[in-house]
Amino acid sequence: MGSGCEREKMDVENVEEPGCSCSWTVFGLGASAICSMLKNWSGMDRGKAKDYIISCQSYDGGFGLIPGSESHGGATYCAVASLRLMGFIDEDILSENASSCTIIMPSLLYWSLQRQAQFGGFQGRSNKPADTCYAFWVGGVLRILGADKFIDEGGLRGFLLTCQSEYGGFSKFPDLLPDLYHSYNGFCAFSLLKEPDINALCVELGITAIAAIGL
Amino acid sequence: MDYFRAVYLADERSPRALKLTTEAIHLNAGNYTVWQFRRLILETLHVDLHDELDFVGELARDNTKNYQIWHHRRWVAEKLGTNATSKELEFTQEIFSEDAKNYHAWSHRQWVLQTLGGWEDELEYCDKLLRDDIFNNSAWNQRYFVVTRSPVLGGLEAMRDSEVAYAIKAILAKPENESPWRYLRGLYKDDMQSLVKDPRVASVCLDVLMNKRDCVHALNMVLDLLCHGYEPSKTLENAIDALCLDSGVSDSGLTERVCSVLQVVDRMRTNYWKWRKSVVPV
Repeated sequence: MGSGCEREKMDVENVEEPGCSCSWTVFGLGASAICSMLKNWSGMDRGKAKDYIISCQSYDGGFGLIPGSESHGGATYCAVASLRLMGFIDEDILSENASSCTIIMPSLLYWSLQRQAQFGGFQGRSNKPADTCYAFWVGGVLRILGADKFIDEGGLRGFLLTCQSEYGGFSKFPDLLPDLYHSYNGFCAFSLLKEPDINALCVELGITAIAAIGL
Repeated sequence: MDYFRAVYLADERSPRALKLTTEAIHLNAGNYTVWQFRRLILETLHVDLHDELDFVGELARDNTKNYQIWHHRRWVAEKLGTNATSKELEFTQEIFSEDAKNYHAWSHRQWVLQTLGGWEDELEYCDKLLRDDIFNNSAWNQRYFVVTRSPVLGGLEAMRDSEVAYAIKAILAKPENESPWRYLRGLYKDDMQSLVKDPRVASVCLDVLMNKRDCVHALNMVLDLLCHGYEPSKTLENAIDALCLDSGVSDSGLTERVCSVLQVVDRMRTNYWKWRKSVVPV
């Protein structure tokens, strides 16, 4: 595990050249999650990681996978969850006194809320169709920011149920066959919606709160 | 796959091992161990990488969202250097003709531009894509990328004037399109005071609201302007007041009235607009 963190540290130093082919916001979340679970950040330079993530914030407030790339729900989740795990996002980020490590918070908040699209589902990018999984990726961002109270819960619930298969599980879009990935994200989204009989989440790790306590 | 494992463990970097990786890739193009070993073989055998580009191109056309294939293509292109520039730009264009928003292709194209060059026609290409589909947010993002980073243009400040005009034209064509509104705002990203002072910004909001009174993007832009010290014209105030009448809104301040109208016309985000009203600068 320790040597894994060392490799991640080397990767952080190496990805500062433009156009690195690795999607650092994704790998950054992996590294942050490992260090967080081990409660050992010695393998990772959090300051450099934070600076890189911030450079991935786009002109419209969302985050892309690398600097300059289009804002994307999945990339935004990885960015925000990493920053939360690293300790750079306060619990009460919406209040005026909370620190935000120079993310442009108002535009991130607005971008995230604007992803809730026409039929109540969340889209991953502007002007793209709503897709089940972004209910977790973007819903998760809003939960971390303490802004999930601004989601139209009835609308989201309605959309997700149109993606639920009669065989169980969830699909990407309504009336398709389900798959594991969208089922996982669909159930996580229902957890964020506080659906009865579904466990609470540790959003930034993507596991149940109970499991997170045990780490 | 057992044959593959045998040559892999023996670290055999031969033509037959290369063929084996081809077969293994066709069985599972996501097997990154195979791809990594293939790269070692290619280097050892000094294979003509132009052929490799053709190979990975065929695969990519059938698997446009496979990370390993795009990573391998980037590795090959980097080895070929500027000899590969026009081919890479053409290849991504080919992908965009089927899927103009393919995220991998856009990442690859941005990498090509930054590493190998070829910026000269990029703004024109963005314009072509936007003429095909003014709602293509990937093309708007690419336009921003070019305007801010191209070494053959003058940078954001030099380009801002013409880009504001470009965004406004797109807004007036389709006011419900989120992309040009975000683009316009993005042109003034670190300089809100200039956004407030540019009369064209308030003017486009007013033009849109006169024709499409419940346009959320226009109202949100007005709110942004007001929160950054914009002094509204009487015409704009009247336009907002007309909306207030429609929506039964009667707050005292203009900024509060805009928030209240948004609560009504953007019902999905009504709680957000209510919160915005509670935190607007006095």
